[in-house]
Amino acid sequence: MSDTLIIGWTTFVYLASFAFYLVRMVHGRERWSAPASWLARIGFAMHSAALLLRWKNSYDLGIGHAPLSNFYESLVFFSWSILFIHLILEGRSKIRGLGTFLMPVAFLLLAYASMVPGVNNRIQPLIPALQSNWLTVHVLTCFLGYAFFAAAFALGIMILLKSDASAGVGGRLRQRIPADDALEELLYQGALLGFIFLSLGIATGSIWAHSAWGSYWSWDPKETWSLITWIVYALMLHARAVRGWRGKRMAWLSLFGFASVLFTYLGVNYLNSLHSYF
Amino acid sequence: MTNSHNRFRVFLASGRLAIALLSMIALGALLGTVIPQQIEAEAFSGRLHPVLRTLFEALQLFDVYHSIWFVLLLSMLAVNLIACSLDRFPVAWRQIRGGLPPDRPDLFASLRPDRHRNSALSPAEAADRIETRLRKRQGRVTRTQTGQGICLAGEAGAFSRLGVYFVHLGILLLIAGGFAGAVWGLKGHVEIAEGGTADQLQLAGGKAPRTLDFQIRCDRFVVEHYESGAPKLFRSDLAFLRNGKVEMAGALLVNHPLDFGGLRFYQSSYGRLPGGRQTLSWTRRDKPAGGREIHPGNRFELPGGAGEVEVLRVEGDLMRMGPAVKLSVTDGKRAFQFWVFERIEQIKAANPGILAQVPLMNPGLFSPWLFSLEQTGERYFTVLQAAHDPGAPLVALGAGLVLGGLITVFFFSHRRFWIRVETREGGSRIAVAGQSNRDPAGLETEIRRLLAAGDAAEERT
Repeated sequence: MSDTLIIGWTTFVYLASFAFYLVRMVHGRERWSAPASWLARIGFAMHSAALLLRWKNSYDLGIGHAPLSNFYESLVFFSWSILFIHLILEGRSKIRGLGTFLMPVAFLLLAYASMVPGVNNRIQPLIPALQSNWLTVHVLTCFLGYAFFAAAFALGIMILLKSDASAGVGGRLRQRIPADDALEELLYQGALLGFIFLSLGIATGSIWAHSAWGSYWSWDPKETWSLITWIVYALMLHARAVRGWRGKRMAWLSLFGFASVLFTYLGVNYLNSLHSYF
Repeated sequence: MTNSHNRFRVFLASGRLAIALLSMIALGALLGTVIPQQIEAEAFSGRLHPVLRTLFEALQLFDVYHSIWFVLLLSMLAVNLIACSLDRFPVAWRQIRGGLPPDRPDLFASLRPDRHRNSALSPAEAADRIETRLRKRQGRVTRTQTGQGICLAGEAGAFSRLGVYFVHLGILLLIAGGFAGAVWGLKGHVEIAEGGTADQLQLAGGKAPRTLDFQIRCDRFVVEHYESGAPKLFRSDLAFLRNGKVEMAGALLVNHPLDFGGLRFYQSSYGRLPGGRQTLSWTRRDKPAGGREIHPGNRFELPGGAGEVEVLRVEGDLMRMGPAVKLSVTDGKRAFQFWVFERIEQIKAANPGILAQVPLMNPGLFSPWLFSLEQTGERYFTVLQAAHDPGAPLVALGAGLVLGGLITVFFFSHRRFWIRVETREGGSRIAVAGQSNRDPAGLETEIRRLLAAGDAAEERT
């Protein structure tokens, strides 16, 4: 069975999981959360199996590299990281509502990978610039960072929905979202962990660039945008620590930050960049 | 010191200024990714309205990252970081070294009811158990007997208050290292033909070339491709010579630089030298029927007057698919123009069905004749990038400090606990007060555990 086929099926499992999370939130019935969680776990197991299978397949083809070397593989790994963080958060914090906002992100990334014709899903050998041990650790740290930012983004949306005083469906939504303090603390931790991983990603990328391109920093658009994203989250952490921002303001910053993450990841492809492989 | 002096210092050290500077740096960086920079800017600036172009040039928007205002913003950020760290560090240092008071009556005066607990244990025994728990997590623990009962105090993670200063110092080093590299660093490139020797470094930024005190010889340049046509390997076999003697020899690959004479060399680019010979061969119904060396503009007859061939173009690397020639072939009734690629087999393998889709790439278009191309005597030249960056160690140290500082901030917090165990009829009464600079949830958990530790009824975790 091919790994891309498993990824295709995983996409639908995530969609189903998202649907259950959504029904739970809109209907306000806790019983829907069990199937939602289970589907997320099953999907994650399939997703992990597909990653390992792809890794093995690349060795069978005589190419032999971790599945982190092109745009398709980065989409699949980004989505995997989001699920990884989602399942940990759900297990530790008992916050179920998170799935309503994180599962669609994971689903959309996989759907983009599987269904958009321009995304090449073949296992490709590495071109000279990518033949480095730094490739794996650079991609790994960057996308784990992005995934933590995605979690902070989902928590930000929850905080904003919760603070929205509208009645009706919104009112019921609010009951399904836990207390502000817990969300606030998780959002802060997600942003800080994302910030640490992004810093690691930039540092490993610089070391790699130092040996591949002869310069640890070249103001390439992707580099520059990762710096912009880094500054946005640095501002967010300072706004909290120095100016005492909490609640809705932090939530808006997490949305703003994630927009910058998405531009760093996808938008930069429309600019002329050395990072054209991703 | 005058009042305005003071206000200026407060402004320099303020978080507001830091936020404003960081925002402006981010915006400036953003402009640089949207507006074409340096070499790419030339074509773009030509299309701009003259007034706009003058404005862009005055604001140095075609070289944002080296512009005066960007450098100024970075310098201001450095000043702000120093000022704010100097301002706040003494307070943090007092909190770190401030010592641990054995009791804090002020905290106990307004302690929440859920921070109290009754225990059936005697005060001494309850205090013993709490102390065991306290010692597990806290670096410093004191125990005192007062009129009210037993007082315990514990403290850990004071050093985590330093984390943010490590981050600030790290960023200062990053900025300093970047400036050092820009001022004292050297960046250039060397072009060497296979078999040739070079000792001139072409410097970036239009500076005069620099003559090296050694020579670099390129013995061979190798380029390999995967079946798909994607590059697999670029390698220069180099020898570094001083006074005609080889001092170092080695293979230079992408991602594997070589160090010599205080410079680091990188594989940057390559090209083909003119002077290679192109040989065109042809078969008729799969049987070899002839061949010859060709040049642009050549005209010749196919055997038996089957057709006339004209060589329209000769390309060393057409659309990154390798050497190719464009032919025009006619026999009076039919006339075709098509490209003959040297690596047609790889191209076909990578793009199944391409010959049917793009007849222009079909070397057998003039059937039953099939043409093929071979290059002989071809030479490459290699382009090396050379760099010397005295700022790099500073940058590496700075990055290490930033990461170490961030990890300290995330994983540690400065926690202090004070516990009072008082005598109560039938046992003791326990009160726990705690302070933390971060992670309120973690503090809450630990307070609950300390309360539980003093109660025999509770299973200890």
